[in-house]
Amino acid sequence: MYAEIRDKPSFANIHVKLQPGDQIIAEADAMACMSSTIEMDTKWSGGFVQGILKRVFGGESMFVNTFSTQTGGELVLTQPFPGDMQCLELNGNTMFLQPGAFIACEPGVKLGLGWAGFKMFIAREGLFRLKVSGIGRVWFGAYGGIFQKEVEGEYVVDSGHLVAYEPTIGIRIGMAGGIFSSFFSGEGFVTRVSGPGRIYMQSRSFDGLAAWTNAHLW
Amino acid sequence: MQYEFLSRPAMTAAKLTLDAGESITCEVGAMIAMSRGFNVETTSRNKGGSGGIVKGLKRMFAGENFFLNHFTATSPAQSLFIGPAMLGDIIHYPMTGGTLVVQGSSWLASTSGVEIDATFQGIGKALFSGEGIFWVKCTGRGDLILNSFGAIHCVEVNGEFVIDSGHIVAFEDTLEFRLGKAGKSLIGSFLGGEGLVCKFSGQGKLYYQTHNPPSFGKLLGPKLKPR
Amino acid sequence: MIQFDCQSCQKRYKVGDELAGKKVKCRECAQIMQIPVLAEADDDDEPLIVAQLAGPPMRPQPPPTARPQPSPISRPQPAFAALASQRPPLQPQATSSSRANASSKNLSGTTADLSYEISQRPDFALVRIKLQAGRKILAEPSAMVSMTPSVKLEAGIKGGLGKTFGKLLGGESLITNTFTAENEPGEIMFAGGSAGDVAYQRLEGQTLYLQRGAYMLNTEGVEVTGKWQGAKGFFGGEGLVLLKASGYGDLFFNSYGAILEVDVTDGFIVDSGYIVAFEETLDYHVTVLPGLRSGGKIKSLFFGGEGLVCEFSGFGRVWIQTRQVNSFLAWSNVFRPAKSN
Repeated sequence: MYAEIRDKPSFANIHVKLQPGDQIIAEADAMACMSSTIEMDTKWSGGFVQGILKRVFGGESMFVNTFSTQTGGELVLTQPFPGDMQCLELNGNTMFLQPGAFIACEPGVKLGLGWAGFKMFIAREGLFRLKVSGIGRVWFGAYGGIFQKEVEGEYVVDSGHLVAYEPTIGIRIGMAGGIFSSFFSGEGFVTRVSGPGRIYMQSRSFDGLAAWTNAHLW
Repeated sequence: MQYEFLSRPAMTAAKLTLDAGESITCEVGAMIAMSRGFNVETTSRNKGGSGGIVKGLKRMFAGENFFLNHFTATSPAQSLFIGPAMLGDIIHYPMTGGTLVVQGSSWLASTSGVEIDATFQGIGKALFSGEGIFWVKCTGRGDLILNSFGAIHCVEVNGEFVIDSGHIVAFEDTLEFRLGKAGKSLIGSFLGGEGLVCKFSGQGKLYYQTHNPPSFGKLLGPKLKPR
Repeated sequence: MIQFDCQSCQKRYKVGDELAGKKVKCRECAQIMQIPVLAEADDDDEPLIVAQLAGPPMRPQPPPTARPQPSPISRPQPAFAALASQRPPLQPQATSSSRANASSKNLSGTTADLSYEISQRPDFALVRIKLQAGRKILAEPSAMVSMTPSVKLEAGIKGGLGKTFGKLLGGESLITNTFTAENEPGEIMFAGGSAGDVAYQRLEGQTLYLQRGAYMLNTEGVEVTGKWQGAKGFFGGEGLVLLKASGYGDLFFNSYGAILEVDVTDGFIVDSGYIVAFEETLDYHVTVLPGLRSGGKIKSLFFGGEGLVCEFSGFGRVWIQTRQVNSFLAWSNVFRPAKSN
């Protein structure tokens, strides 16, 4: 199955060429356009994933589509917001993603929803994380550009900017500065990651966009 | 008129260079910057061609912005920078007597000689109510400048092609279109998030955008201040 | 001997074979060049001095169009202001063909206080700042993306809660956070809230006016204050709200949309919603071009699309952006939740 991420990093989308026997599983509204020879089968995700796949941003997305073809065809998969995409090839290993970041995967990839186990309660995204494991490719995306960092010691990341991380990374929610600074600096809570391991970051955050928009309104 | 597209593909701005007497029509608010040698008019009339009122203008632009700006250069080599409202790309389509059906929010500018009709019902308005999608029929001869939310790709349809309607930028009217289900069962289509899609058949060019504004708006909306 | 020309300024060099394949800095324009592996030189060319080897890291220098002096530049130009020339990048191009233009080139450099790299331009520009031990920078609240734990963060005095871009009247200081690399060097990454670009300007005594939302970060020697500008009371509304940045140091500002740099020589009109920054040497006149008014019911703190334009004359640089906030607000308005009573 041929799949290429085009138009990085601002409007990344996946151009897929399917042959008979190929399958790709994607988020409910990810299909932009496709050949008429592509078939789409919709399943309630309860049977497909462990637990219910919650799309933290905008409510629940209980349905995933499986795309296949009898004779061959093409398909373009996209995400709702402008931004980048990344493809990971899993080979028995595991990766944690922000739940809203998942776009598509091959049938051998398993999806599960996990509790991130943060010590402090914060009423925003970050409480859940999506665990992807198994064999095959998984595509994820984010608002903003995606870039990697190999973390050795400790590193501080604004929580809305962390997209994905390896299981070896330790996660701790903390304050950006002291108590006074954190409340008044506008930086608020941050995620303290500790290595060794790889993290994927995004150069914008959806919350940051909402805050920027709201700042311009009365 | 010469054109150049800068900062592609997401922040694209069009730099148009006009000679004395040349003019271009664009939606109000599209002007970013310009040199001094322009005469600017605001009307609801189609400049050139029939000179008639652009049909369906009120529906074309949200709210009260149903006016067009006509920029006419008064000196040689005057420059005009225009840009669309949303992030995305801009392309040029040469009108040579055929008909191009353009998604409403994708029309950015056109030269006199291109007729704009925004009352085109072709697809059927009931389906897209709430999504704000409507269609503009462009005919005549001249330059047509279109914008997109997302990157723009062109498909030379030869047979059949399926596209989510929010992703259509423009298509040549040699193509037939009908609404259809995307998935195998009716329930599947509706709940699968794809709902109803547009099926094109025949031969002709179809321009599509990789992203669609309502999906973006629905995600961002709940996080914004109430109005 | 190897003979080659600088790709940027065409200065001709002739160097010894031992420098084949090495990267050096052009003495003329400071661009990093790669000495080709095989190129025979003619003996009767004038022998040139070996180009100075640039120390690590090998990064493209920022284009030398940042002018420290506020004096006007007199060059013969057509009636319209010219886009500032942008040099072709020497690093490998990004893979997508549409990326091969100057507005997507990384910008980097080193100053007395810090070294910076601006990447992912122009759509989601990200600034990476490396601070030497003991140095500090001031930044717009909530601009931080990530940082090394050794950096200390202090909040601005007035706090960042309830972030609306209030109107700054007459000389108020900006609310900023201070990042200090205390005992060891530190690294911080910054980004704006919206998609867009970042520009860098070194101030050596000159003054820059910034649109209020464009401010991002600066070093201590730069002072940023509020200033009320233009068309005040003319139509009963407000004019442009601008910040004034002056002093000696580094200034980074961001935009919604890509940034286009325009060197004005003969007059240039910019819709107010698209202005990012401009040099003090320019004369400007805020006015309404009635034909451009778009109306609309969105109450916003910023003006643009109201037909409010700024007419620039004289000599100086204007930074314009290719998108404007008000259009985004108008589009997103319909998706906002309705107020419940």
